[in-house]
Amino acid sequence: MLKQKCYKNEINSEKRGEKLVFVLPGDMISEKPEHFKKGTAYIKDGKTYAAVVGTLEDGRFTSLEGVYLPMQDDPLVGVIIDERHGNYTVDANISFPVLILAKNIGRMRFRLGDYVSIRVGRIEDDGTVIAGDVRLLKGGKVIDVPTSKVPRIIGKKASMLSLLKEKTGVEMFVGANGYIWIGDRGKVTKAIKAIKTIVAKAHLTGLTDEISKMLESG
Amino acid sequence: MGEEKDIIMHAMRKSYLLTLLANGERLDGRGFYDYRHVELHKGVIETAEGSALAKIGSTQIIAGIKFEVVEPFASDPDKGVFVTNAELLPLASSRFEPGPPREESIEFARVVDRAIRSAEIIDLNSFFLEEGKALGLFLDLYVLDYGGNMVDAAGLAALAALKSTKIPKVENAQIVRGEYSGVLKIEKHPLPVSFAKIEHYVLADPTIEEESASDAGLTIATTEEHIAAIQKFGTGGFKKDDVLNSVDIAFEKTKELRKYL
Amino acid sequence: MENKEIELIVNGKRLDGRGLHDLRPIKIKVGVLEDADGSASVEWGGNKVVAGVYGPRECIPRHMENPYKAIVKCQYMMSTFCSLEEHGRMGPNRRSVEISKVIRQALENVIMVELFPKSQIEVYAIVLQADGGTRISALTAAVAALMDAGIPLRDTVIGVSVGKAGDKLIADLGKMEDNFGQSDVPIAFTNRDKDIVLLQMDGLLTKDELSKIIDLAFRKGEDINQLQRKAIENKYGETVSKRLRIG
Repeated sequence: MLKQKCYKNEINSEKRGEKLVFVLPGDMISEKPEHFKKGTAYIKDGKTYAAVVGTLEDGRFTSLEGVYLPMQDDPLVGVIIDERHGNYTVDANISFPVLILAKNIGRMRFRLGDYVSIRVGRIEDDGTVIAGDVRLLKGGKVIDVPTSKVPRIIGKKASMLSLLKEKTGVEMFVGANGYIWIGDRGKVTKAIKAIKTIVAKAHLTGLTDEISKMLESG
Repeated sequence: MGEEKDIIMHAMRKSYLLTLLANGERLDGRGFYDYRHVELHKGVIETAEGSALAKIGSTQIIAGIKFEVVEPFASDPDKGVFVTNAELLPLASSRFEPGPPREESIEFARVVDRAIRSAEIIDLNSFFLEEGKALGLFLDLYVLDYGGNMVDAAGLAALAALKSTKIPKVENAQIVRGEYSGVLKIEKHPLPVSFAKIEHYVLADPTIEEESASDAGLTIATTEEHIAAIQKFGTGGFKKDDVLNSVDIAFEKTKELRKYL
Repeated sequence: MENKEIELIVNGKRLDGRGLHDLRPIKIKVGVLEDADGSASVEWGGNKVVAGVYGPRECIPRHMENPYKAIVKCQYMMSTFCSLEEHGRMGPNRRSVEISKVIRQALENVIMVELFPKSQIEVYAIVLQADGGTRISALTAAVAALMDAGIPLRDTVIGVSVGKAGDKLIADLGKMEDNFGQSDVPIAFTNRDKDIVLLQMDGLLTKDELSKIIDLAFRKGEDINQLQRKAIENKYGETVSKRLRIG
């Protein structure tokens, strides 16, 4: 089972004790260089600036929107769409090609249309993703959510994801690229409905309770 | 590569849709002949002589009407002119690319046009001005957001725009912009109702997923009393009973849709 | 250019009653379209514009792709019914092609294209109703749509038209001032660094006048920036519902 990575968008800055403010691209979020999820901020002249819409609260920057940029070891969900000489092309709904190389997968074979979960092994200079570990996901279906909502679907220490799986009995695999695979077993429609709610209300508080209640009923 | 993705996802989606349909369910929980949420806003564009924005589900179409003084067609020298054009804006869908009008946009504009023309709801005789000059009514449709079923949203927007159209004042065979001589009288209301066929299931007001999974489409436009236009889309086939049943549904649905006008 | 028969400024007031530096009412709304990755609508005076953004996604056609960065495509168009005076023609014309280009070049300054090699980002804007300053309204909608889509930007871009009419320096030209005034200067700049990314001018101005109206633009830009912020915040005030695709 590939490990799910939780995204930290938290940076420590001097702006402590400040209430929540919205930041727009170009707004300064720290007087120092900080770490951040690629594509959500940037550093210029030693200061950190937002690159996407987000919130700044007590020095913590949370991006509210963003385009997914693959990083080493990220889990992705995709569909096999091409095969050439044992190498496969995967559609993971990102603007970069995602390839599974024959030499990395031993005897595994896939068919067009198969769903797979992969871990990002290597990223080439032009952005092409080379898959590391690959696993076939049998049957099921894939739903497409905005990538900025993925952390909310997983939750702190995977709490939301556990809640979903426990209460519905479904098998789920969440790709950082926004594709979520759901197996055929369990209360699939219920799970999809819950995910839809999380996507709509990701930025509001009390969501875990709401989802918990939703999954208890009916 | 984009094309292939459509095919793969489409195959996956279709089998899922069929499982639901066998259970009498659609993806969004509607009945087979239910429409999504409908909204109609009239007079949204002040620079147009008539306008309306129609929304069905997430599909949004805006209709705008402008008058110009034109030369009548040689075949009808004492009548005004009515022209319908449509554009599938690239901002409406990842499937639409900028460029010259595609088959689809031409086809869908013509169906909307035909329904209005067959029902003869615009009195083109009243547009005649003098020899060689008449008023031309230009109905232009823009698809702003494509969530499936362009035709019905376009038909609604077109009728609503026509119903609120102000006829411009004309002096010496020239339009005096900003001044009006009256409102266009529309007495009959032809509206289209579209269906998608997936295997043997026929669904009204298809979403984009249902359209992708379908083999054929059918649009039936009716006035209060008559069928005014029919168009079959796509490569699949309909049985006679499908068609006649759809006519019944169309009469029923247009009655409901007319309430929004 | 200047039409001496029309008094554009009378007693320090413009035809629509505004003061020399007053902006028309501006309403910005994001997330107005469902299919587009990002979208926005802008009502600016009598202008009504809708913008939609797609991407980054695979570059089509492939031979146009750049191995180091995303290419930005932009199309500005006017609806056939956006002008009271006439029924326009469908499709691009020379003016709309030029405007598409200056908007694209403005946006290319801030979009972090180097993060997305070999892909494309598309920006589309349609003017549904025109009332002077359509390219600025379209640019404003495009910037909001890019933020809605979450495409990384180095900075926000603010646009405003400034110019001269009735011998006075004015901000936010309306249609009459655009057509009959002494000078029309659409300008757009980045919020933080005030880099000017769009600048066009027609009519006649002295260097001093130009300097003053650029300063005027920067000042009015503060008000516009506040509206941009409010529009983005409003998006999160309501629940955002996007259609889930299932396959």
